[in-house]
Amino acid sequence: MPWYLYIAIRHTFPKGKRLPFFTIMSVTGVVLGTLALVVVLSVFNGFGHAIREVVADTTGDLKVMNGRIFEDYEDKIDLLTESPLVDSAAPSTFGMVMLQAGNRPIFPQVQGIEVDRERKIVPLDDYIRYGNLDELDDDSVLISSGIANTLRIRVGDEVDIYTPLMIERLKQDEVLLPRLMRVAAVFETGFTKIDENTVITTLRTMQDLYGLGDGVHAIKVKLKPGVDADFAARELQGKFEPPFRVSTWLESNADYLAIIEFEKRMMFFILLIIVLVASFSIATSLFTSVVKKTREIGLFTSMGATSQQIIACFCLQGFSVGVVGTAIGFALSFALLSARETIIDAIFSVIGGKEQTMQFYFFSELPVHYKPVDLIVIAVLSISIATLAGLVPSIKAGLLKPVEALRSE
Amino acid sequence: MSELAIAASGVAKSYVTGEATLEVLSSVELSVGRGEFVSIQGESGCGKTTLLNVLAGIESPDTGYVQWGGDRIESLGRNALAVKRGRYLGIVFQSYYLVPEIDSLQNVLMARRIVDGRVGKSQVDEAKAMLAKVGLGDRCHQMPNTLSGGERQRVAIARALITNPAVILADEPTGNLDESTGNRVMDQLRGLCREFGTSLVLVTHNPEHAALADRQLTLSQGAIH
Repeated sequence: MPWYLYIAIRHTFPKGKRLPFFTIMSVTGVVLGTLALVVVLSVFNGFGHAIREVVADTTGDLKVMNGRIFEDYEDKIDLLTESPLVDSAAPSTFGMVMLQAGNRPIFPQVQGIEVDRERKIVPLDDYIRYGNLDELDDDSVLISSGIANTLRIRVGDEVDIYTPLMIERLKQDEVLLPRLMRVAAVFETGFTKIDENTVITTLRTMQDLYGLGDGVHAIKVKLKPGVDADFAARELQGKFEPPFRVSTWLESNADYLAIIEFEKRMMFFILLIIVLVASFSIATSLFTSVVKKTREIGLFTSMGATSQQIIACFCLQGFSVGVVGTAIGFALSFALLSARETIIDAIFSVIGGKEQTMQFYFFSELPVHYKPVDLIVIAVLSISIATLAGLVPSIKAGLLKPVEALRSE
Repeated sequence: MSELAIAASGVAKSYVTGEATLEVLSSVELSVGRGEFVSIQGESGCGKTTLLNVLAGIESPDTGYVQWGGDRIESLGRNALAVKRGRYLGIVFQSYYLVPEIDSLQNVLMARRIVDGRVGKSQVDEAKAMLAKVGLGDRCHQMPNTLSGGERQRVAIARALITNPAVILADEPTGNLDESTGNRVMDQLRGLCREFGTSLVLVTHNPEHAALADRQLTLSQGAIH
């Protein structure tokens, strides 16, 4: 090992002695900065990753639409399932209704599905919390857990469904009565956007409620395992004439992902300030070290050390602080994130309001996803900033005249 | 005289402090042969340490020049001079200047690390042998703060000799030691220099130590007498 690296390590982490105060403070600064960056970015990545997974799970991989109602969906489903990329496809209708239980109304999203085909795209049975999916018929609905909680309704209760079609008919002096429907089951996907406010009916019921005739709004597509959604969307688009468009779940939910990505970048720059503050601590400490070690610098020069080696010696002290601080910061981050549910439970047991907070963030638990690129960027930046922090004091050390260094008091 | 080890010719050095100019060395002529032991005495503040610094190339003379083994050093750049110094000279300071964060063995090896770049098992064995020669074979892994003053100075002597330099410049190496410890250290320094054929330039206030030299010189009024 070159002498300047050896001395840098020994200055920073002396053998058989207590760690110097400067080392503890500087390493702590880097640890905190790295910890904050890894935890926050991994949680943001977790949100993005979880949204991707949940959206793919709950809505399928691709969607085929033309922005209007179309009736020849069976032909189009056949066209899609001929492709080796496609696992299955199912018709889908969607819209908004008013749902009333007792005197309490809400305005949920509504989807009309064919249960047997939908099962091949979305693991509906896994999401059923109460009741039975097979009980869904043209006079019943599935309601999300959020609606069940808000309206305090259970499986077997009845709800009134009002649709925009009623308003249209009213304009023609025709009155359509609300449709009384039984709750067949309560479902929960884990994705709050869906769980808060969604009702599912059969395709026929939805076509009646919205006056669609035999038409549907879209075809949901599930791809075979390992098929890239963007690639498949491009390939399958060739089978359809405009205005039909094959889009991925990513495009449909681009707003969420863009917000998360933007917030993640902002947090990255804000939290980087912690590492920069730590770098000032390293720089100040190294300046002090250079003053304290002035005679030692003179000694090394008298023994044949070059200016560049002296500079490297002090710069490497900043580097070793950066490496150790980053390593500890990473280890603490992984430990903290693996115990996140315990920590969150402990915090909410004191302050309360866990459910409301989690609902706000769309997920029932805090998602985490480690992105190797992010971890590499954090490590490289933290170590680089720590090393650069040592540069100015190092240059001062390297430029010291040996005679002045040896004479210093 | 035998082959030249180190020499100063016409060396003058003065310092400007405010408006006053203090002339420390006016015209020093000094030649030390290979394996020769030369002692330099003089009153406090007469310029002995300055002369050693100039001989070591740590300080530049105002006029005159210094030769190491017949080569003039004034044309060498800072780094080239430092590298050559590491190979050609060993310096022993009054205050030992051991690195406090590393043990005796590593302090001795430090000189080899700087000169050779890296150290292997043979260099470690050499350093242990050198520590044994100065009577510290059993103190290899002692940290400097656990050693006595005499032991520290012996570590510093081992460090100065480990690179097998042509010349040792010793600046009052016994100045911080009691008489008997100082005598023991001086005996070891002289004995080892003789054993390795290393020239020794000793600056000292101690007339007994100065008397051990092959030549006794005195520095006064900026010149060697």
